[in-house]
Formats: sequence, structure tokens, C-alpha cells
Amino acid sequence: MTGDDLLALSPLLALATGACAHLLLIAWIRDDRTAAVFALAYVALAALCLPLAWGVAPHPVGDLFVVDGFSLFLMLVFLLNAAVIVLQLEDSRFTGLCKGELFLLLLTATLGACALVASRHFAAIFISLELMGISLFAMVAYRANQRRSLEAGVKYLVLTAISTSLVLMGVGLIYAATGKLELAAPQEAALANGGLARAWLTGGYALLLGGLAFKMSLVPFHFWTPDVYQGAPAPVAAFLATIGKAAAAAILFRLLAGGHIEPLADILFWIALFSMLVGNLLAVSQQSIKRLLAYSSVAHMGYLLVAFLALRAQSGALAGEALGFYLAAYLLTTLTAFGVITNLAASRDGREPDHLEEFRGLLWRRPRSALVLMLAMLSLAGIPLTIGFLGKFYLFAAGAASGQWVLLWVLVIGSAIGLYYYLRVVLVLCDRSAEDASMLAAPQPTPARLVLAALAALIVWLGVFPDTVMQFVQEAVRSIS
Amino acid sequence: MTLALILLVMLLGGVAAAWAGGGSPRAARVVALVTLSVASLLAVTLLPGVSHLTGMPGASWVSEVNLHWIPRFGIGFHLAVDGFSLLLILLTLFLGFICVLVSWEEIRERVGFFHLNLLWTLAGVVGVFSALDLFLFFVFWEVMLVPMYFLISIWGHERRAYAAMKFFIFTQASSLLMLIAMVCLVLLHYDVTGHLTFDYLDLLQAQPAPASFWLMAGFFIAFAVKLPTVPWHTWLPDAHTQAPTAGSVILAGVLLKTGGYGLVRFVIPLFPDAALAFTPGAMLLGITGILYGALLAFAQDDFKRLVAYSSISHMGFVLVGVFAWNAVALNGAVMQMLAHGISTSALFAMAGLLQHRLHTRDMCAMGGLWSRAPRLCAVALFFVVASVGMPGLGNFIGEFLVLWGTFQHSVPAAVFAGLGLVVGAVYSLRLVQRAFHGPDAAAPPLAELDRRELSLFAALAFAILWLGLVPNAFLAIADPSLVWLDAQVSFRGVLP
Repeated sequence: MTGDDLLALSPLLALATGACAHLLLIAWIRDDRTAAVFALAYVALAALCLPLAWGVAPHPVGDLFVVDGFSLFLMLVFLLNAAVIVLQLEDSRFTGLCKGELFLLLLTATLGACALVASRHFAAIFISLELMGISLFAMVAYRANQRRSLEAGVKYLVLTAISTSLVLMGVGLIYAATGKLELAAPQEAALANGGLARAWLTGGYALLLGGLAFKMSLVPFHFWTPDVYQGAPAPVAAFLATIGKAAAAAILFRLLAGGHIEPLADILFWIALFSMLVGNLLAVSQQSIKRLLAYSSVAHMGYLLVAFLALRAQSGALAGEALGFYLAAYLLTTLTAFGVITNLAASRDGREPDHLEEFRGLLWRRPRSALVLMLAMLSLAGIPLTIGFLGKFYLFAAGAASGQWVLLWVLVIGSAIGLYYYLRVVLVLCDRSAEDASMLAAPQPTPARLVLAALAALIVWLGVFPDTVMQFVQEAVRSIS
Repeated sequence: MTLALILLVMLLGGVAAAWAGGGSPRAARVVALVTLSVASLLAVTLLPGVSHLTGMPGASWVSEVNLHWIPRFGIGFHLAVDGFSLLLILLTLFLGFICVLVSWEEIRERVGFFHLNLLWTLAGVVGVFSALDLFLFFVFWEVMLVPMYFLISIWGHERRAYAAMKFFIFTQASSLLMLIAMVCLVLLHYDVTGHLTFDYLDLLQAQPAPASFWLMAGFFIAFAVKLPTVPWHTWLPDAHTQAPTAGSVILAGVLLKTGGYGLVRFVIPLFPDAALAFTPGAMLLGITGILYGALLAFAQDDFKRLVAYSSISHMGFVLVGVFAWNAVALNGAVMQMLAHGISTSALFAMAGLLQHRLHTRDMCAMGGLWSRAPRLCAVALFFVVASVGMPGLGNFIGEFLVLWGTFQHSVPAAVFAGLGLVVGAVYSLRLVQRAFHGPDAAAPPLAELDRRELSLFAALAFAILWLGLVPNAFLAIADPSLVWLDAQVSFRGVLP
């Protein structure tokens, strides 16, 4: 292993070392705040290593990993995201539970996600996926004294196990067809053989797609999403919704950008179409904000597939940019939405508001929280001057450049349906008839709340002045397309 | 820079009004009035600029601001106005005063936030009328919806949630089609020239693309929904009826005009061939709107709903005028937009104050108002007559010019559109008869117009008289823009 290899892997190494150190720390010091501070420090350390890795990128490390702009960009996003979730976890109250292990699990899950986006070998993909999945399962079920939480944990465990086995089976079939485990392994030989090898290859990729679609909760693999979101603590659900999905999406994109899109294009098309429609339609009738966000995330991942299918056209660069920007926008917005739930829970003894009725008239009782949530909803709906709109604009551009007229139509229809339920939340928030005085406890400015305000400001700031980020994304994804 | 300054003043004024509303409601209203005064003064200083226009392309834009915004996609912050858009901006600001005045008594809750939304909606509309970058135009187009949505959904009447939602979804969904069309236009232009830009003036040079019909349709639908045109009109009666009075005034007076503006500014010059090919369809839609809107207006019992349906009918003239392909009809369409903005705003203000006094909008429950409040009813009659198209008032000029121009283009079209005037007289007179005449309910006398209301209606009446008696003063301001448009279109050999 050369020095460059170490530099390239330094963010992952920092996270891994941090996780080990954290394990020791929480054995000695059972204090939530200290644990949070240290977890934050490890994440920050990993983030500080990113420029070092950027210096040597693009750099393949052994057969397993490749550290390039694409993976570093996503690592940066994931680390920032993880830092915010650490703060949100610190801010939320789990009665009778020490949160030290939760931070440990968060570190390992983040490590899994970061390793996943840098994988270039099926073994690395599998290990990273498992690292992330197992940590997440424990995080979901962390409030073991609550039935909902346990139910969600078991559900997630079973389904994540199924998805992993799909991935494994897919990898097996691909190996049978090509005899190679590298992502970029040439398949011409297998395809030229025709017949069985070809069928195995296609089947293998389809199974792989199925496994990753579980993580991204695309239709028809979306059934776990609402229950798990609802049962998990809000910050953990935020992790699932943001890093959990983005990492799977990113590795799928890397896989397909390697020239494996053709056999899967038709399947992807139908998955995208149904995700947009089913996700949006099911979200319409939800009364729980977390279930609503869950179904809306199904739809958003469906939108994102437009960028994947744009890989087929000559404009592959635009596809990568669209993916990168959309993911960043979606993560920022989702994190903000879940942050508000955490924030409101903190001022009512840790009981999370979930039913929409609990949000009625919030604008007049907790104007700042309500405005932030409103902003997140408008960004998810894709209203201009928010970053969500620019994400959608990228998809429109990528879709139009690659001529995906059917999907763009469905995207418009999906957005119109989506508008209905996002606006319903806005409407509930500013309903003037509700004069309920609960949730009035004056909130103290904790770091998590300040960060939440900063996130909301960022949604607007990047929605108005996106150029820096756009250029950064453009630079970063060059390595992949 | 003046345009950017106007936008800034209105945005900051909105924030200031919200802040002042925390102290006393009156302060918020005063801040809003001051903001509008400053913005209007700034807008008026632009007037001398446009009257010197030469009518040459490129030279006809005043107060130009062109900054890089998102270079990645060639998007600029490009604002400028010509006479046509400046007239609409002045109309917007004028109606802004009316809005503040009509809500003086009506809005009592969360007054600061109300004026924030009011000013931001108006700022969005001013942005729509002055954006010369397609992306920027789209941003303003969407952004003006959000505060408008709040105006309806917070301060509206009994079915406000439904109406606000319908309004937003119709407009947003149709505008996404426009966004796709915009992106395609830009990409096609990029394929030909290698220059990625959203700038309106650059895209005017784009060669008509093979798919230009579909691109045109994307733009057309977005504007037709806003105008509104049958069959995309169903959001309008709900939104207008459920909105608070100021909201109805903005919707009818200004927001509908953005649809007409879009047709003239974007659909015709960007896609002249496709638009010309679509003329029969557009004419049919326009005439259907005129007649169908008028018939539906005839069947209404709700005062505001009647006026709302009459708007569909009146705005049909704008669509017909734009697609008649001659200068007379185009002038008529511009005139119709201005006059309808003022007369309909007056009628909605009247409906609002009647509702405030009687607590109903149902005309069956009115009746006999003339003996109870003669001055109020006389004022109402004036605006009803204006809306019917009485010579000497603005609407007459608009409708007459549209019909005249249409007659040159197609006689049957003019005849059918003209029928709309007849039905218009019928439903308007029915309104007067049901609400103001007839047996009075032996109720106590109604509060007469107070000084605030009188001055508000006097201003509106003055405007509509001015439009009707000296139409040239306004047409001369808009004319260079229309000549320029004509040059743009005929330059490509579209006109016969």
C-alpha cells in the first residue's frame, strides 16, 4: 500500500478509527453530551481528510475502492449530513436510554455509506452495504422500550436481509457469466457468448438493481418505508431517508455509468414511472407527517431515475451533474424536514409530533419552526428560489436532453399530485382557526436548532445562488461520466 | 437599475409591513401605502424613457439590468421594460393601492403578514412583467403564486383551502409544461449555435425548430391556464370567489394579465410559425371562452362568482385579439387588459364591501339596495356599465378594437366574439336588477360609502374614464413595443 493509497483512503480510515475509539470511549464515559462531542469530532476529522484525498484523486486503491471526485463529493455530503444528525440525536430525548451506542452506530453506518460510494468491486459493495444496513437496523430499533420502534427494527432487518441476499445472488450470477467481480469488468465476452451467459448477466444485474431499489425504496420495493420511518426516532429516519438512500443511488449510478445501463433501461423506466405515481398517490391520503415524507421519498427517488436513464444519451455528463445536485438538494431538504420534527419533539418531552393535526396552526404558535417546515415542503414540491426547484430543473434538463418525454410527462403529473399533499401540510401549518396552546414551551437555542435555522437558510441561499455548488458538482462528477 | 430597485423596495416594504404589523395594524397599512408610493414614483420615472422609443429591436428596452446569475446554464438576471410592460407594471402598482384600501376594514387578523403577502405577490408580478430571461421569468411566475396562495388560504372565505389548492395546482402543473418547453427551446438553440443561454433576446434569434409546435403548446397552455381559457378555467371562479377582496382584485386585475402578457411577449415572437398555424385553434378557444364565460356568468347567484365568470368572457377577447395578427387587434388586446383590470377590480371591491355590510354574496338575498344606499348603487352601476362596454369608457375601446381587428382577419370570428357583448349586457343588467332593484327587504338603510371607499372608487372611475376618453395616451406608450413585435414577426415572413 503506497502513501497515495493511504491519503486516498484517509477519510474512511479516520471514520473507522473514530468508530473504534468511540467504542472505547463509551465504555468509560456514559455521558451523552461527551459522546456526541466526540462523534462530531470524528466526523469533522474525516471531513478534514477529504482535501487530502482530493489531492490524489482520482485514485484506485487496490481492487476494492476508487477514490474519485464523485465519491469524494458524496462523502462530503454524507459527512455534513451525519454531523447534523449527530446534533439532532443529541437534541432528542430518549427517556431511560443512554445514547452513546447510537453515535457509534451512526459512525459505522456513515462509514458504510462512504465506503459504498467509493466501491469498485462487488465484494466492497457487499461489505459496505452490510455495514450500513446492520448499523441502521440497530439504530431503528434503538428505543427498545417502545413497540413501534421494535416493530420497525424487525421489519427493516428482515427486508434489508432480503435485499442483501438479492444483491448477493445478483453478484453470483454476474460472476458466473463474466468470471470477474470488478464493476468495470468487460462483459463483451459474456454477451458475445450469447444464450445462457447473457441471461445470467441480465438476471444478475436485475437482481442487483432489486437489492439496491430496496435501499432506495423504489416501487415495488417500497413497502417497508412508511412503517420504518414512523417507528424510528426522527433523526434515525432522517439518516435512512438521506444517506441511506443516497448511498444506494450513488453506487447504482456508478454501476450503470460503467456502461451497464442497456439491459436494465426498460426495467428502470417502469420502476421510475411507478415510483413517481405510486409514491405520490399514496402520500396524498397520509395523516402522519413521517409516512407522508416516506411516500414522498419514494416519488423523489423515482424522479431521480430520470437522471439514471439520461445516461443512455450522449449527454452523460449532465446525467451525473443532475444526480449529484438532486441528491444534495434532496438530502438538505429532507434533513430539514426531519429536523423540525426532532426540534418540536424536544420541546415536548421527546414525544414526536406525527399526526398532521398536531401541526395545525403551528405558524401562529411556533412561527420559526413552522416557517422552516414550510420551506422544506416548498423545496420538496420544487417551488423556485428553493434548492429543490433547481434539483428538479436539472432533471428536466437531463430528461429533455436525452428525450425522455414520457417520464417527463409523468414527472409533471407526479409533481402536481405532490403539490397537493405538500400544500396540505402548509395549509395545516397556517390554519388560523386552530388556537391550541400546546407546544408553546419556549425553545432554548441549542446547536441543533441553530443548525436547523442554518439549513433552512441554505435551502434558500442555494436556491438563489446555486452556481458555486453547480460548478463544484460539475467538477466532481467529471470522473464518472 | 430602477426596476431592480422597485423590486427591492417592494420586497423590503413587505418585510417592514410585517414587522410594523406587530405593533399596530394601522402601521402595516401605512407602510404598505408608502412602499407602493415609492415604487410607483420609481416606475413613473421610467415613463419618459419609453415614449422616446424608436421601435428598433434592441433599442427599445429601458432600465436594463443584465447580470450573470447561473452561468452554468447561461441564466442571467436580466430585467428591462418596454412601453407595454411598463403600462402593466403601472396597472399593478395602481391596483396595489386599491388592494390596501379595500382591505382597510376587511382584514383584521394578522394584518402585518397580510401586507407582506400582498406586497410580495405584487413584487412577483412586477418581476414577471420585467424579466427578459426565460428562467428568471419562470421564477417570478412561480414565486408570485406562493404569497397569493397564502392570501387565499389564510384570509379567504368559507371554502378557501379548496380554492387555494386548486389555484396553485392548476398554475403550477401548467407552468411545469412551460418549463419543459423552455428547456427544450434552450437546448435546441444550443445544438444549433453552441451557445447555452436563457436570454429572451438571444432566443428570439433561434431558428424555428421542427418541434416548435409542441414548444409553443407548452408555453401556450401555461398562459392559457392563467388567462384563463376554457377548458382550463375552472380554478378561476373558485379562487376569485373565495379570496379576500384584495386577493380577488389582484387575481382579476393583475394575475390574469400575466397570461395575456405571456402570449404577446413569448408565444408570438418566439414561435411565430407555430402560433400562426395554431390561429384557428386559439380563435376557437377564445370565442368559446367569451360565449361560455358569459353564459355561465348569467347563471350565477353569487355576486363574486358572476364577476369571476365575466372575467373569463372578457379575457377571451384578449386571446382573440392576440391571434388576429394585426396591429389594431393587438392594440385592442392591450387596452382590454388595462380596462378589464380596472373595471373588474372595481366590481370585486364593490362585492367585497357589500359582503362586509350584508354578510352575504348571494344576489337573491340582496334586492332593493338602491333605496337603501343610493350613492353606493350608483357607483356600482357605473362600473357595471363600464364592464358591459359603454362607449367613452376603457372597456369599449378594448373590445371595439379587438372586434375591428378580428373582422379584418375573419368575419365569422368577429361575429361570434361580438355575440359575447350581447350576452355580457344581459348578465350585467341581471346583476343590477337582482342586487340593486326589486323589492327591498324592508331592512334598515345600509351604510353609505365612506370617504375611503369613495376616494378608492373615484380613482378607479377616473382611470377608466381616462382609458376611454384618451386611449391614445396609453396606446402611444405601448405602440413601439407592438411595432417591434410586428417587426419581429413579419421579419421572418410570417405575416401575409
